[in-house]
Amino acid sequence: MANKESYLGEFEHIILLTIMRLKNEAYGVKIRQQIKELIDRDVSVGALYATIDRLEKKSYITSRCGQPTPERGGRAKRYYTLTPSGLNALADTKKRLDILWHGLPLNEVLS
Amino acid sequence: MKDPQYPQPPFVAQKVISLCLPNTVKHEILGDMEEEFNQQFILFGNKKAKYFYWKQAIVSIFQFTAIRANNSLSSSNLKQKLSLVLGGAVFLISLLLIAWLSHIEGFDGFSNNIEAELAQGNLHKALTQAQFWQTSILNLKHTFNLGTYFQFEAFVWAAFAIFFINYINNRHFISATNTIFLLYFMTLLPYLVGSIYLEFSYLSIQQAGPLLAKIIFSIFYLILPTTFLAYISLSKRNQYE
Repeated sequence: MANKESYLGEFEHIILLTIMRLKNEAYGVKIRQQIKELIDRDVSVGALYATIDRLEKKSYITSRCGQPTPERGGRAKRYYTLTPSGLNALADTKKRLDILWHGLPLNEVLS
Repeated sequence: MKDPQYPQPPFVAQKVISLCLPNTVKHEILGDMEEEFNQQFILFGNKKAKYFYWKQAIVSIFQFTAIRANNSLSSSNLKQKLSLVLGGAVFLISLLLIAWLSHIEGFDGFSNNIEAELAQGNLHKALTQAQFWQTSILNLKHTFNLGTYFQFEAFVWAAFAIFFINYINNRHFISATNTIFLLYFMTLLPYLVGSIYLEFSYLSIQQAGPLLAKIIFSIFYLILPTTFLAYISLSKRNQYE
């Protein structure tokens, strides 16, 4: 039977992968910049944090506070890292997408 | 911790964000926006940096509000509360219908066609009559008898429905939505079938009475277990949302 709770939405998927890429440096500004750099997608701060909030509630990510910095008006950065269940959700999603992609002649069509 | 060498983002926009965004993310959003405001200021100047800040503030507030409104509307939490309210209301109405029909002495004070409507299975039409509410509440208060609330066939149907749903659920692991749909379907099935049968059989109210009793009692017995199971299914699903 399908495991509904481990399904990831497209944006959730993007954010989890970006956090994974950034390792210990994943905080709001870096995540937004990385998404823009890698897939040319402009993400608003609000949309990013609404999704981060949801991912934290699902226990897919966890966060820790950094030091307050003057360029942030004295506010601290919040760094995000993937939890084991976040990693499992990513692995599950990748497995399902691989199954769906398997055997499709997309490369032939594009070339 | 404020450093005078860094420019100040638009004060009004900061205040609007502070007011509109939830505490869980407000601090991080304000920090990120100020950091990016400073980067924009260095790269493109004050005007572009302010434009960036205002744009992010407005878009973020709209998006965050829309996402949160959508989440709360579609969340199982709201559905849980709705299912409790609906279940409780249906239980009370069926209790009053039983109290009314068990001690009915006539249709004085009701509209002329209520007898025909009931004989055709349109039990819900009684709910639109003020006299129904008055009589049924009085009956419930003054003539309460536990034996009045037992009907064998309806009891058998309710037991079968609960067993059937439990069996299907254990064997096929159906989703919470499908379980809830099935529960309500089994609860309302006697009403649907009974109403269709009575609509086309042209019985008198005396002949239709026993069937009407089975219909109401089936709902009466099933609605609370249905509501309870729906509540449990939704709260399990709520843990993953």
